[in-house]
Amino acid sequence: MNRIEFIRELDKRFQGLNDTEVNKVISFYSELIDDRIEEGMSEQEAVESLGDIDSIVKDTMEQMPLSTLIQQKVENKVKSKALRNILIICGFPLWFPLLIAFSAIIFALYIVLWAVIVSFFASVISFAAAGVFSIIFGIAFCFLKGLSIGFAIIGAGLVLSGLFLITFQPMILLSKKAVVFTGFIIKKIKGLFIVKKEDVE
Amino acid sequence: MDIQLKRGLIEICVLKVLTLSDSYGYQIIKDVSKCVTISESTLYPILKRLESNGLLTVYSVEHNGRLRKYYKITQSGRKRIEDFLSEWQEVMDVYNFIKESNINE
Repeated sequence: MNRIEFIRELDKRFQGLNDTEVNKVISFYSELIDDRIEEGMSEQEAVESLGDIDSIVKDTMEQMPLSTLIQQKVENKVKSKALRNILIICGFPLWFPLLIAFSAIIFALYIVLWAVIVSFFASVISFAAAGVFSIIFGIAFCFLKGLSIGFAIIGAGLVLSGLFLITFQPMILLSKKAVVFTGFIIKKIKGLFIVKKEDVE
Repeated sequence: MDIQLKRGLIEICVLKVLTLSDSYGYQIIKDVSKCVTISESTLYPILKRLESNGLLTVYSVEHNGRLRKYYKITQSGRKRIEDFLSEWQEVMDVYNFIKESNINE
């Protein structure tokens, strides 16, 4: 691919996005090509050294906010601005509830994930609390009701404390995984909106 | 290496390269590559993020009849490097500790 073809391809993939943004990206890669040519590379070699277009497009788009990507997808489907505006206004009763539903589902899934984490945390903490209290009350029972009962309760307290120690570490690990997973899901959602080669005629 | 970690490291390398002198895209790639593998497609988003976080600024200079974008580190950028160095001092201490223990056995 030569330089002009490369730039034209980038332009196609970034179609619909903010013009200033697109110009910045294109001039960045243009500059890289020029610098390499200056160093002695041929135009073909310079373009090839940039890597494949899909990676460039993907890495650049991933940094953009989700709203920009969705906007671009919409604008690519309907080219005429006037028609687009009419469709948006007339279709409002249709797409707006769908948007709400979609956002609500994502939000709900997110809440569910974190609710699970929080409830696990609650169990873990309650093991600790129950353990501590049982030991304290157990000691008190030793004096009030008798050693056997007291010891039994202290024993229960130790078991609970043990459970706390066992589940604490996995709990922390699980929360960290949940954070990473959330980021992963957001990336995947953005991926849905990134223009691929098949989308561009 | 973890992607986020690598991205963070590349950001710091870019900032460090800029403390030596203002630089442009291709030169930055060459200099950073001496330290960590970087591809062209990763540099652009990184420069963009550094700029929007105020860690560097951009200006254009004419070169051989075309405009070349130069990147310049800001005060915040320099501070970021200092923060990195002090954060990672602890990492280095742990690393050294672990390495030493192995040799003794």
